[in-house]
Order: sequence, then C-alpha cells, then structure tokens
Amino acid sequence: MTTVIETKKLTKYYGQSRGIIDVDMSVDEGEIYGFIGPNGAGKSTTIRILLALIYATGGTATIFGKDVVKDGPEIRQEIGYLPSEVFYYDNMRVKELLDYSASFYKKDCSKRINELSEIMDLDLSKKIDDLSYGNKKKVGIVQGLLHEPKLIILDEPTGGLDPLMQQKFFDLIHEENKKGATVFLSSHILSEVQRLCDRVAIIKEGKIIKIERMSDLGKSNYSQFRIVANKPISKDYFAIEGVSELKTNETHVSFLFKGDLNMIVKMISTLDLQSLMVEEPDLEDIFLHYYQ
Amino acid sequence: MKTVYLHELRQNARTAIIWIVSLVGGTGLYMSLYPAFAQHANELNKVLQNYPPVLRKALNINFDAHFALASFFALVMGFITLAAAIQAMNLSTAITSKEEREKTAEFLLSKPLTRQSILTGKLAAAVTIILSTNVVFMISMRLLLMSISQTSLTEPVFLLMTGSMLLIQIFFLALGLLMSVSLPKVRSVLSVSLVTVFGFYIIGMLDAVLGAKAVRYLTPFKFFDLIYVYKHSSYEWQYLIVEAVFVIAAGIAGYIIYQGRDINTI
Repeated sequence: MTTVIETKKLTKYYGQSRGIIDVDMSVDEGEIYGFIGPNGAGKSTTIRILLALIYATGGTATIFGKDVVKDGPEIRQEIGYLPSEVFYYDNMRVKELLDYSASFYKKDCSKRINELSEIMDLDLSKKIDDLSYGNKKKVGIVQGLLHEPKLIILDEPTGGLDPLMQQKFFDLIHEENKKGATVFLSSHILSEVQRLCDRVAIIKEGKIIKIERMSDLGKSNYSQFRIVANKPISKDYFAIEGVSELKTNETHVSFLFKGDLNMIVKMISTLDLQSLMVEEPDLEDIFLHYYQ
Repeated sequence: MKTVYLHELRQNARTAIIWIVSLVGGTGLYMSLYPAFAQHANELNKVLQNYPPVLRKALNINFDAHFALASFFALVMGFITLAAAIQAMNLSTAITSKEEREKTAEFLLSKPLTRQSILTGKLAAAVTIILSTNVVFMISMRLLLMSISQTSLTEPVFLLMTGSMLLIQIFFLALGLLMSVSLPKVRSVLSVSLVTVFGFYIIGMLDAVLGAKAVRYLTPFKFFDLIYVYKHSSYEWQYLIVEAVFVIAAGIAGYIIYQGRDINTI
C-alpha cells in the first residue's frame, strides 16, 4: 500500500512555545485518517506544516513521497483543504471565488463546481460578504473539493454546519473516499471521527499518544464498571493496577478496567451489591482517559 | 501568477481610480492658481521674502525662477508627491499583510502556487497600478500645462519632473513590500504607511539639524531637486544610485523573507 502522508519526528516551536513535538504519522492511500485532540493540542499546526503555510523546526514531512516544502506547489495540485475557519474575499461573489480557486488547478473544474454547489445547496450568485457562517463553510467545502483532489485535508470541518448539511458533507467525503481519495480529518468531536475514520491518531500537548484502528479502539479491552453497593465502599478499594477513571462516591463506584476480569469479579463479589453494570466504554471515556 | 495578478488588479481597481482622480484633480487645482500667481508675481515675491528661510526651504520655494511655470510646477509637485508616496506605500504595505489580516492567506497559500509567484503576481499588480497612475498623471499634466501657459516646459524637462513622482513611488513601493513581509502583524495599512511617509517627509525638513547634504541622501523626497532638473535637464545621478540600490536590496530582501517565514493564519 502506498503511503500518502508521512511525518517523521515532525516538530514545531513558535519561538519558545510548543507547537508539536516528534509527530510520527503515516497515512495510507485510500484511508480516512482521524486526527483527534483537544483545542491547542497541535492539530492545526500539523496541518499547516503539511500545507507549507508554516515551516517545521525539526523532522520531515512528505506527501505522495515528496517534501512538503520543496515540492509544495506540485503536491498541492492534488490536495483539497478545508480550514476550520473560512475567510474569503468579501467583495467577491461565490462564483467568482470558486472560479479563482479553480484557476490554480490544471483541469477544468466548472462541471464539478456546479455539481458540488447543488449538493451543498449553495447560491453561486451571492456575495461572500452576505453569506452566513454556515454558507461560507459550504463555499469552503466546494473550493476544497472542486478539483477532485487525491488527498483531502479537513481541519475541524463541521463547525457551523447544521446536522443535515453535516450529513450531506460526510456523504460527500465518503463518496470521494470511495473514488480513491485519501482523507485526513482533524477534529475534537469524537462522534465525527467515529463515524468516518478507519484509523485515528490521538494528539495531546503536541505529542501523538496513540495511533489505533477505529475498530480496535471500539472493541478495546477496556470495560466500564458501575457499581452500587449497600454499604459505603472505601475510596481505595479498587485502586489497583488496571483500574483507571476511578470515581467513588459513598456507595457508588465507577471505573474503567483493563486486565484480568476474574480478579476484579472476585473483588466485587466480596461487596454487598445493590446493582452492577459492566459495559463497553464509549470512546469518549477512553479519550478522557488519554487526555488526563 | 497570472490569476493572482488579475485578481489583485480587480481587488485594487476602485481604490486606484480614486487615487488617480484625486492626484490629477489635486494637481490641477493647484496649477489652476498659476495664472493668478504669475500676474502678481512681484508682490507675492515680496511677501514670501518675509517668510522665515526655514519655512521657505521646507515649502520648496525658490526665488530665482521668479514664479516661472517650472518653479510653480515644482512647488506643486512637492505636495503631490507626498500624496503619491502614500498611494504607493498603501499598495505595497498591504501586499501580503492584507491577506494575513483578513485571513484569506490560508486560502491562497494552500493552492498550488509558490510563494515567489504569489509575491510576483501581487507586486506586478501594484507596479501596474503605479505605472497607470503615472501615465494618466503625465498626460493630464501635459495637457493642463499647455493650456495654462504658452511657454510650456520642454518635453524632456517635463518628463523628468513628473517622472520624479514615479521614482518616489517606486521607492515607497519597495519599502512597503519590505515592511509588509517583515512586520509581524500590520493592523492598519493606512497608519503604517502614513507614519512612514510623513516620517520621511519630515526628515526632508530637518536639513538644519541633520545637514543639508545628509538629508538629501536620507529621504526620497529630497532625491530629486526639480529646479536642478529644470536647469540641467537631468537628475543628479548619485541619488538615482541610492534609490536603485535601496529598491533592489529591499526587493530581494522582501522575497527572501517571505519565502522563509511562517504565514500568520490565526
């Protein structure tokens, strides 16, 4: 399988302040790759380095096997980018902006512009200045996809779109992906990533802390325990190896557990139980676990 | 590059037209006073002689020429080049900073363009606007001067005198380009350009403090002594060299800095 994006020890400092540190990633052709982390973790920094808007202070980044800075213009022929916040020339009309955007690519995009604006329900004759934020975002989506790029980079794409549009947008991305486009999706919204991605990299304070298949993450070995006992449980009763996210409140206990289930069941069996719930944790819980 | 160039021209067209109309109109208005001045030249000369020498120098008033057309035109050009410098400075200070302030830089720079071609496209548009301004200005002034005075300026002298405006604008174009790419964030193009242009204008008035010779090398407003131009039908070459060196250096530095720096996107 060919690698589309590859970063090795990619590092960026803004003066003294941290951007990203030693980011190693490899995105395969045809996959939808999620990039998730809280605000300020370094998601946009990574993307901006990939687009050569800013330069890394260390490490390397390649796209389609080419250096993102040296071969930037050539690489960007095949990249569609939707930034998290969209800003365009206010005095232009939507059609003019899209034509301007299309003029940089070596193919005729007029048909695709019409198709996409129809799907996204976008009025081409309006002035950018008169558009709502959500509609500007639609312009962003169309300008990012009009040249049928091989790599689509989305930076928190759904902000400002209503649920219906989000659905249309995801369908569109799925369709492009089926046609062969690789998708790199950064987000802090888990459900978004969960819905779309094959693999996900989790970034925290500038460092990648985990890269996993979405399917593996889903059926991880973690179990979520919720216990209600008849008598108060001591706070450190469950403070053993394998337990995380431990919350004790008198008779109520909840925690994530990874390890030998027999052992934890034995421990629970000594309690005077009122109720017991063991379930697969949702991703939100797992991520919270990573973030703390 | 071509599409960036055309886009920039379109974005700046309206402002450019307003500038051209104002520059031509302003100069026209001043020059329309010439016949009145010429009639009462002697009395005026007496009045002006009572002005303090510093002020006379600052206003670029020269008595030898006795309100000849050239002298009066030189005086007017002194005011007009100040405005023209602001036009050039506005254009080039905005060259990259505007897109970064209005956050459209992220759109443009994520397209398959080299930074060099972006800068060249934008710079070419700015130069085109400046050249058009000067062409329109020269043609209108030629017509105007011919209509108000029989003893008009000769062709070369006229071209050299009005050409000084172009050269001053090119100086500020280069300076603005350098500032646009190197200042971390330009919040207001107009305030940066006004402060810079007036700064250089004021330096030009400080010859008493800095020395007349030094001042002439320090500010483009003093590079071109129009009375000298009138008398000798040429510029003083040493100032042309100063300007050329500055423009080339600022241009090269501008490209290198823009190539190597992070784009402000947030």
